[in-house]
Amino acid sequence: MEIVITAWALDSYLELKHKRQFSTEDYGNTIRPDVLLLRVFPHAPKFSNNKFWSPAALEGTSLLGGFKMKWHNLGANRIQLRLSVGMLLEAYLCQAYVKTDPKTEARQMAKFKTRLELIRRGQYTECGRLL
Amino acid sequence: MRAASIAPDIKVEIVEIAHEMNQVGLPKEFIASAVSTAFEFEGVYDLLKMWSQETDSAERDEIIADVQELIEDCSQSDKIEGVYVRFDDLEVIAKNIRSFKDNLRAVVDQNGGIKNLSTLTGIPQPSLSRFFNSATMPRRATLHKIARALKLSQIQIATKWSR
Repeated sequence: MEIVITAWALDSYLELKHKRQFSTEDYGNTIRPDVLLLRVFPHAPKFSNNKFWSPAALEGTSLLGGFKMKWHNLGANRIQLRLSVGMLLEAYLCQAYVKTDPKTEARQMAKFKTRLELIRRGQYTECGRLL
Repeated sequence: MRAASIAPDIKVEIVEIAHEMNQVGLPKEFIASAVSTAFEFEGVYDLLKMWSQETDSAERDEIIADVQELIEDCSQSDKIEGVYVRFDDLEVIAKNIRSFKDNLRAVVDQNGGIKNLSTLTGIPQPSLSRFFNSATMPRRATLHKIARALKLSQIQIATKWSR
């Protein structure tokens, strides 16, 4: 499966990098290798670990094709980093964010729900593929 | 959720939330766009419900900024091939974008500030605050709205990192 970088994902990485939420080492040693596992989805043991990979949901209802990759206590800031991923014909990286409270999470899921629909309709911007 | 299949009670609920938004003074252009987008995208309807049920004003502002982001996302009609950016370049690009936005913010402040810009553009103040405080790539449509509102030249809104 190919990994598509959407403009939403790029924007969120820009913001997280600007706020120094994670370091280059965090990205190179943890985030990138984990995201690259999507190439062999679902054939990596980590996808069976629901602390790392789980369906995305809003108000108890799963978002069709929506999943979250999760990192706990990442880096020096010990952040709860989340990456929403649309598993459609390809794996679409949608948005990385720091989970702080349930309200933030609910807003992120509402945005993810809308963006999944936009991807299905072919109304999105692709900023390359993760190789 | 497509406009054609949306349940009448949900449509009414959306209109009622729009009325509430009007009462608190949100720009009419924003409210109209939020309603038409919520009629078509359930995630936007979910955000409008969250806004209506929320009592904390800071959280309400965040929801408004999210809705505005989605209005802009949903206005894109096709797939676009954007620029590829290497991870190692993110920091430099973020600094470049921040510098551009800080300069533009100075011009905005010389012209009545965010509140006045919100009135002129129809973009809610929380969205403009998020725009100027973030390192995300500015949308050309937003830059053009700002330029038209403040009578700026193309040079003043020119940046390599927009989309």
